[in-house]
Amino acid sequence: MKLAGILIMAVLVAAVLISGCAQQGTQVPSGGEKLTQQQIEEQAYQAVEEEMEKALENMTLEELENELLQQG
Amino acid sequence: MKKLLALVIALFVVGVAGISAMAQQVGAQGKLNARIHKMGAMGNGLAISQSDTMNFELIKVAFAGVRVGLLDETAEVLVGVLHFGEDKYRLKDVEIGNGSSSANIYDSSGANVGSISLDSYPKGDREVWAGTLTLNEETYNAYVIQAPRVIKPVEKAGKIFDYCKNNPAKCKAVMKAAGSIVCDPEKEGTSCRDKIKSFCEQHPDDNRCKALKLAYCKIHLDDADCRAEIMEKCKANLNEEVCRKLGNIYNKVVQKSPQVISRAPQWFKTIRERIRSGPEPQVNAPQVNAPVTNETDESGE
Repeated sequence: MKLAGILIMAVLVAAVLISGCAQQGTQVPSGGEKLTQQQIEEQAYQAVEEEMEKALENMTLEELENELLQQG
Repeated sequence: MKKLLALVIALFVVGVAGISAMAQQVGAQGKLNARIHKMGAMGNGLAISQSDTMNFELIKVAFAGVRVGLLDETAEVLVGVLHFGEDKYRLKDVEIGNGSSSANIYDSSGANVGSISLDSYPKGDREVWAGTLTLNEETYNAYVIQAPRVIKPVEKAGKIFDYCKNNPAKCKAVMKAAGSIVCDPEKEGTSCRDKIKSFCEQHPDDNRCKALKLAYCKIHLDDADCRAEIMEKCKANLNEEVCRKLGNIYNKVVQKSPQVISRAPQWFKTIRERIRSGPEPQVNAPQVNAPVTNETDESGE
């Protein structure tokens, strides 16, 4: 009975891990495949979004108000 | 019973190890990297309706040229993002010029829902972008304050690599002017460029690397990060030829709205007077960083 439990657990864990790997593999081409324009753009949008959030996280609303007030 | 249990555990361990190795392989094979190589407008600000000034929204925007690579394959794209309040949009058909950024706006379903066009102008110590934004048939005046970026050493090194690739003689001269050469980019070609890139990635504060980065920026004033760097240099020494070029970029806004000059930073007022008074006299200004005289963009970017 215990053995059956362990076996089921092992199969479930392995299934979850394999599923994760399979998903990761579909995101980008492997080996000799070429990048598609969609993959390139997706990666670029992600990079720009991250860069923007990072650059703006220290720029508070108060700072923005001050800058706008200074401009009259 | 015990043997069977041990066998199951052993199979499980072997399976996990195999899956782990497979995952590492997938990661190594398929690791895409994206690096920003040209920055347009990026910051936060306001969009104020032209028909009702009380109809306004906080916006965040970023335009950039991004180099995406997978192993030996590299592609360059111009993309952008816009946050209009809580709504997120993508910018396509992006154009990043000398002090200008424009694009069409697309929603999450891929529909074209508007456009944005901004020009930059110096205000205080910052660059501010002003222009118009049309979204879902409503037109707004948009104002964006350029956010200062912390540029990673790898990004700086990438720009230095590009400079040395497109201008090997100047690359060598700039290094010499700032000390000694890391290697000879004219004679050694790719291997030297790789060496300089690697050196500058590890030593971004080395005088030679800083001089090479500045030399790159002098011929890439369409990059907002470069304009920020050159603006700092011009505040300290307006005699550099590149200050005149920077002044010409910002002067486009003055030509559209002459009254803005009254509140312009002093350095820009001075350089603008020089531009208006005719060709630059030959000034024996000290070449602090690089003997870059023929400032044409040879990078093809």
